[in-house]
Amino acid sequence: MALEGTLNDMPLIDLMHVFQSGRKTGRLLLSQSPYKAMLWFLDGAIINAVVLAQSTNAPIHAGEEAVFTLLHWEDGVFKFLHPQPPESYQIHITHSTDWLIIEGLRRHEQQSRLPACPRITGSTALRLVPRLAGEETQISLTLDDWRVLSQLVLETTVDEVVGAIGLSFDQTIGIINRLLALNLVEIRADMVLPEAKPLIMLPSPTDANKLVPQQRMRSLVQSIKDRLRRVAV
Amino acid sequence: MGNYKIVITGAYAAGKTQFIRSVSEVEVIDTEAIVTNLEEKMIKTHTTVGLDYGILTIDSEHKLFLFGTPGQERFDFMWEVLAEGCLGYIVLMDSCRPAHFVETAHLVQRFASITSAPFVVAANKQDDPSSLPPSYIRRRLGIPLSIPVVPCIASDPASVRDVLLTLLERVDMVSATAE
Repeated sequence: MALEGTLNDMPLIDLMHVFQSGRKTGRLLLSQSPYKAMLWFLDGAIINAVVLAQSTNAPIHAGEEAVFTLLHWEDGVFKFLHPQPPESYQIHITHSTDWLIIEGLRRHEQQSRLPACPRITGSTALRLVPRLAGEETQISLTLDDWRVLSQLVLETTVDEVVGAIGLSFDQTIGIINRLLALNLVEIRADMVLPEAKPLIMLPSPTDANKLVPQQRMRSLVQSIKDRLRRVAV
Repeated sequence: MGNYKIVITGAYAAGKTQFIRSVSEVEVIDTEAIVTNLEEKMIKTHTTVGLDYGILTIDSEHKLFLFGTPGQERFDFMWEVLAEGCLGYIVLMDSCRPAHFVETAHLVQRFASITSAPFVVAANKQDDPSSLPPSYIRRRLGIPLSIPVVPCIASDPASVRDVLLTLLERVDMVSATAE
């Protein structure tokens, strides 16, 4: 079993962030007709990349250029393979994952910068992405980046950020897009769970499960927990 | 004699039957049907139709039933029946298949509309080195921080036990709040 799917299900930027934070080593195979590609990861960092013609295996892009190209693939398929024991890796890319993402996005127009991100409006709620302790980063931020970040200690909408830092809406959106791509900020999109429809409960002596009084519930839960702790492992 | 139940749900081939098998005292009783969807056929040829359950004896008077929901949506009429009166439910997600995000998110919504019982999300296949971390799964499914998203290995009884204990902690907490 390996991690596999489509870039529609999980964009490359997400894959790069997940591999970076999980310090993964291996090869990411991608294909989007008429091309195929491979990205090599070592301890979470991208160390090489190549884009090839699917039919002839002729190289189209290599190194950082290949990463920049791949960042704009939207509907390819991918599969992550772990290294086989004798496999060795050559380092051809030394820039950090964050730098590669930002540079790749910078090379495209503003509108196509974040193909995987939902549209941001004034009422979009933002929050900081919790970072794992010890997670290293080589991100350099501008003063304006910090001004926006400092507003997000509490969950805040884009309009509130604009009002607090005094930049224009477009300038603020540009900074937020960059912070989203760096995985420093995320759009709050917690699922709103619907209310369950009330069930008409008919008492039945054979189905005690349907009518567990609150006071009995806790002792029952404790009994089940005790039993579970005795499960043979 | 009181019987209680916990429902295990999740997208197609998320590992529900294996999850139940890991802690059940009896051989899991499953009724499998031939998979009809071509895409799903590539993953496995048989899927659970219903009555996929295991049993755990709590004491001389009480038993806990673990019910797995049917794997294909054409059997979703069974979900309401299974969810009725459950102590809580577990949403299982294959951590190696991002393609399941949409279906699992739909399933979380659907179950929340059927029952108000507490639930947790279990990120299965965490023994695979390429598995996605629970934090990413929480984010993609849009699960609020108040609901646990826990790592899981459905084939490991200790891991399954820990997921069940997490759910029970939540049942305990919810019932304490309700008192």
